Amino acid sequence: MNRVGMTLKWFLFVWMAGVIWAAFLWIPSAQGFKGESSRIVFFHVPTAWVATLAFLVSCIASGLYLWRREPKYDFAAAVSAGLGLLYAVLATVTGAVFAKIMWGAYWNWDPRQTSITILLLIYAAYLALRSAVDDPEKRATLAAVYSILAFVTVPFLMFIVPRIYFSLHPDVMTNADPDNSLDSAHLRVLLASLAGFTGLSVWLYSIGTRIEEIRHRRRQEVL
Amino acid sequence: MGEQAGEQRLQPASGDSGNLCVSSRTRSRKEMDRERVREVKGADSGSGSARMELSTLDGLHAIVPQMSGGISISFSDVAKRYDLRVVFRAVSGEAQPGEVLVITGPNGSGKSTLLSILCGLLRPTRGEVLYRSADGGNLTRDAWGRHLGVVAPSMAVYEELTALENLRFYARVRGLASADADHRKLLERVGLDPERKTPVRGYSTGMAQRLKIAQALLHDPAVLFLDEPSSNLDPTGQDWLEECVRSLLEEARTIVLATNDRREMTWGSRNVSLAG
Amino acid sequence: MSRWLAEALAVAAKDLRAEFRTRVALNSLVLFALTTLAAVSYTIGPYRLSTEDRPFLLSVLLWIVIFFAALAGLDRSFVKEEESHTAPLLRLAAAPTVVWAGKLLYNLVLIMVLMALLVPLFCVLMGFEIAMPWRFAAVLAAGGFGLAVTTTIIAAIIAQALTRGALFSVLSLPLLLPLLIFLIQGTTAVATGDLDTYRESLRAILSMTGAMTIFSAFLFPVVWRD
Repeated sequence: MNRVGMTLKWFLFVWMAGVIWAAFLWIPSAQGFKGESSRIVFFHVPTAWVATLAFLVSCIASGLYLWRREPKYDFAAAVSAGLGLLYAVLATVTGAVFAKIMWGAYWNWDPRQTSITILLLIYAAYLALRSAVDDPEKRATLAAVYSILAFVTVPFLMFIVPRIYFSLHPDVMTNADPDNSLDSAHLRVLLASLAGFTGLSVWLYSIGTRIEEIRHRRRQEVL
Repeated sequence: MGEQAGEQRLQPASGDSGNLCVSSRTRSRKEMDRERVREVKGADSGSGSARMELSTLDGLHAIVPQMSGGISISFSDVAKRYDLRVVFRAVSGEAQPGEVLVITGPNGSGKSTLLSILCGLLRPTRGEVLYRSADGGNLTRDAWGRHLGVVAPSMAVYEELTALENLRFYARVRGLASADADHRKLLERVGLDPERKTPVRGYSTGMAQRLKIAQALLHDPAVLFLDEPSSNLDPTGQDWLEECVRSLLEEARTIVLATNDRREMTWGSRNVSLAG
Repeated sequence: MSRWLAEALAVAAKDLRAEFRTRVALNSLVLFALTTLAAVSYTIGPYRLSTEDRPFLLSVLLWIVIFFAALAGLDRSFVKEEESHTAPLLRLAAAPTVVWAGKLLYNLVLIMVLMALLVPLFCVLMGFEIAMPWRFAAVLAAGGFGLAVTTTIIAAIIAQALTRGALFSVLSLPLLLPLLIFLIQGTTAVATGDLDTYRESLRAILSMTGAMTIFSAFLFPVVWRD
């Protein structure tokens, strides 16, 4: 186990180093983007992806907690919410920098910016709720319920609100707009970066849950 | 957890003679619900509406202890912790119908917390609480409330409402088929004036305590939790309460009592003591 | 079913009776709404906005006043039960879904009373002209229900936390934002007489409210009993 873990960590290190090298040095900057601004896409898209993925994991773990009542699911939900908050902040910052270069303003309440802001608010609210309850069982239950309620509202944000308002945000994945589409080399780097960031967050997640398990065991010893 | 639950129900044996007989049967939850609906309908037609809740008090001495059923409580290795603050660890005990389990312990030892866990208001960090009906089946946690009456300092009635309105409210949300006349009688029994129009806010603590006792007896519960029940009661009230508890025991009720009062402690047949 | 409804009505009636005697929640709702309206009306007035911006901006202002008034008072239903220590006995006496339905009904009555007072006053003071009044009423009713459903379950959650003050707004706002966007869109549409947009936004409001209602009904017992 330990050797496999070590190997994976080194592999992740080399992979991420490769992604960074490719993003900054190997690939030429893309057509239709101002200056070197296209390079930030390789980091912005993966962080936004992980922020969304973490939200999904947190919601599923919350559902499992309410079903099974096992503390490990509560830890999973809490750790991925913490990670999600971190990645949502990173995605917001990188997105704002890109928006400044491309459209001239850091923030213009583009629907995608609204969605990520609300995701940030949800994460912040979730963590605030957790810190406001001192009974572990109650905290786990209330947080899980809130997480599921948030999950109910997210589809409305993701799919219906952007339909109402006009968006400047490039649709990289679906290639709807030929001006902003990435060629295959760019797409390969982006996919590699996505894989790398996903691996990185899985690693962070496993560290986080291990810390929570240890804390839990210590509290059990107190009892 | 068993879906089956034994229920005792007091029903008039024949018309309005006032004789009460006890039927104890085993029914599925669905059947019980249907039964309750039927009771409510019976109340609408105006016949035999005054039954369940009066038996405790009206029939205090009239009822011969012929009840075969009752609910016993047992709990084992119950522990409660808030983050790093441990309230208590590994507490066990049990109470059978007709018994008083006394929980003692210095202030802050977690008597009220244990009581909250036992009535299902709080989940224990560890351990298990079981409610067993006469036929040996376990009650689901959701069903406990229907069989419980609680008097505790940390559980209040609505102080914007009058005493009568309070009882009426609890009867309605419990789906009881009791009329106002029953509630008035119950209030008189605990020594309150049913016609008093002031909200409970204007009551003295002793009077509020009497109302809380009335609330706990309203639905004729099989299990009673009493947390320092005679606090704030005058000597007459304390005598009345003791007599009331004795007759409840004769009716094979299960009583759990958290107290440090020397007089109340003498009621008990079993004892759990919490360390400070 | 009829027994369940009777019990839920008993909970709502109890809360309304207590509220009628103290008027804590209604006072904070209405006073908050009226002071905000006075501030908005004084600073903007009926003539300050340009004609093409009017429907949208006035819809925004109307819903912001309603939302923040709701956040100022709709948590009382559950917080009061915990603060006055009446929650434990209610937990033991009533079925969880009964409590949920009763509290929802109570919050609904409060928000409807608030709207009945505030909306006409807002329209008069700000000179807000509505092209389709009946459809406006439909948007208001749907919005009021959505607001009541969401705040009811959030109030149940925060009532069990140690620090309640800001938590209610912090938890409610992310869940209410999509609803707010749809409501503003729908209100703008009924003000200008845009039937298609009205239909689309009402559908969004109703589906969101419906989803919230179903999930609340299932999740509330977990919140209430644990």
